Amino acid sequence: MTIDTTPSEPAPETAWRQLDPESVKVGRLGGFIAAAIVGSVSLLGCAIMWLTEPASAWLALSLAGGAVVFTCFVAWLAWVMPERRFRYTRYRLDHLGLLVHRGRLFHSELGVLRSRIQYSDVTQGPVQRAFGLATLSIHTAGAQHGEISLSGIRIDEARRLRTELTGWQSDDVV
Amino acid sequence: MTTSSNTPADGTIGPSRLHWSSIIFRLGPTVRSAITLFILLAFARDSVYQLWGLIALIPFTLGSVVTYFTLTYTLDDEKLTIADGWLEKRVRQVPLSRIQHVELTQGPLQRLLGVAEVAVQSGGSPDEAEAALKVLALPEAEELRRRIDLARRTQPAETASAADVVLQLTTRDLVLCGLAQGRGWLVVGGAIALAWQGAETFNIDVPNVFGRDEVRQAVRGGLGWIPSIAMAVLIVLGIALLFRLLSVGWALVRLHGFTLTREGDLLRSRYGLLTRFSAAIPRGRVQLLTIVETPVMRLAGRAAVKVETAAKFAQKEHSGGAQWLAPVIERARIPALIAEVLPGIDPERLVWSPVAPRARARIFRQGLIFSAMVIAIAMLVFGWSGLALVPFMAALSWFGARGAARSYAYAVGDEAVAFRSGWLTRKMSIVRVTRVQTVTLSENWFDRRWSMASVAVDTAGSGDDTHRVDVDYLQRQDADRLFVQVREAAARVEPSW
Repeated sequence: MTIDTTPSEPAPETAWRQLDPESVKVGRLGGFIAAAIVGSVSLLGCAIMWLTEPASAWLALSLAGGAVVFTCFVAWLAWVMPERRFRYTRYRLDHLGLLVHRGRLFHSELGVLRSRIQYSDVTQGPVQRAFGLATLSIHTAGAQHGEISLSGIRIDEARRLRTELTGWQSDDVV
Repeated sequence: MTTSSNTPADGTIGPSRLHWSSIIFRLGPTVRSAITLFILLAFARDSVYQLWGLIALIPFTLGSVVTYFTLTYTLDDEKLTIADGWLEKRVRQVPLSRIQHVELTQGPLQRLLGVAEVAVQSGGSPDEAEAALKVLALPEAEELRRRIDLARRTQPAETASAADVVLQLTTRDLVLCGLAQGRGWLVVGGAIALAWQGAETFNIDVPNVFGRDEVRQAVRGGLGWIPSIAMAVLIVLGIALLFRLLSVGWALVRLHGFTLTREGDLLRSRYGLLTRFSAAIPRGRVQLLTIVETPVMRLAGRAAVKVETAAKFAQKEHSGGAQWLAPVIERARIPALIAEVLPGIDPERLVWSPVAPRARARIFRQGLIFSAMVIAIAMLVFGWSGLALVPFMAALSWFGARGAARSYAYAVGDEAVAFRSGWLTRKMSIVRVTRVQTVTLSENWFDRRWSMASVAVDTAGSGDDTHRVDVDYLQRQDADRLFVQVREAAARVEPSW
């Protein structure tokens, strides 16, 4: 049984789209919050160690130093990565489905077919909500790339993509 | 809210909440047992103070409270929508056409409260239901299941007919299968270890065997070292034989009476002497078919054939991911076997394309780097004697690269995508295009330097040790072309199961 897909097909969209520029801010903010948590927890641990075991003050101090360095590294990543992610992520809807390009050093191009989409999530974290952004996750039955997520697009864009992608139905594909 | 005229006769369910008792049932097992423990303690000691311990558990219950107050589900003609979350909000949509089955389960406590868990499964992840509604009042749950079942009643029922025997293995086949098991590396490892051991026992300084003085000495000594080397060779051969015998014994016991039958769309394999194994392979659920040829099998003109089914089906009957379709079969019979499993696909008609010509150079270079590491480790252990490995490793890298580059190839047609690789043990995998879930092209930093890329095809196959269709060392333009070709072929043919 072969289903003709032409009539209900949405008009093909050819332009590549980028993530929302605000996604850089969201990514950085999220990263900094993570760095702050990592930093304060580890510094607190060092302080407790220093107070309870004054004899090993040097150890506590060097551990604290390590924690500061590590936190700075996490913060640096939090600053750099969202910008890179924004710059190198592109997506496009075409007549077959969704294409996502990611990364530079480890570049990948992923193609999901409309007919293979099992279900979809639109998720919004607290930071994303403050900026009106969301994450669209497309789930297929695939064992390797069962979930394809596009994080940092506007929420209405996420909803639009979802409608365009799951607009028509077909048979079971597993 | 424009019109109500086009709402279905049944009406839409929801948005509705879960049953209040879901607060209890959504708690993790640890929290639940902790609560039970505290309550039991309070009873046992007859003091209410023990109940204060419950306060400590409050933070752990927040999740299920939040879920109860935020989760709503809606069922309409096309999809099931589940919205939940407070800080992080999520709206999940599962198209009804994708749902494979709906399961209602009731524990004893749930039966008492008249509630049930609803698990809606589509083809996605094997371990988790795509949408779990935990818990609903029983009538609501049953109504939901009825509505979903109604919506997906279009699926054809599997027609049962008499079972045809597709393949039956004789003892001779099993012996061959045991002989062909790829245990080669063990023997090679044993041989190297023994050679060193032998060399040390007989006081031969291996690298210096090639030195003129020692050779002259040995010759002067009346070829005294030849018997010891012959001995070492004999021991190695003996061990190899022992391994093969063990392997044959394993095959005779494990694969005893291997029979593959087909009833309609269901293939079934049965085998085993002590433990009987039985695996069901629904033909329509086959994701990936792999033909494996070990060196011994190639000599005997045979091969082994494996298939992988969708993860979901692996759980149902005892049939984890990859299944033997034929642990050993004459090569001439393979097309007929494949025709049973993947009707319409003829492996002989595949048109193979090679990977990038520079793949050989790249694999050789990788081999050299690996060899350098092996030699460095050998030198750490044995000192300068480790250098004796240099000619051996260099030859291995050279022949390995040549063999690997020659065997690497891919084929793509309207019906199937195939990939083969392997130098000593050759593997070839075929995926029907309708089983392609996603296509990925990836290019890492090294790939870019060689202007290569790899293309991988993802299926719902659930095996861990799989020869996936994942073609490395493609020329960049070929990779782009393959990506587009697979994607278009997969979209053109609508899946019919």
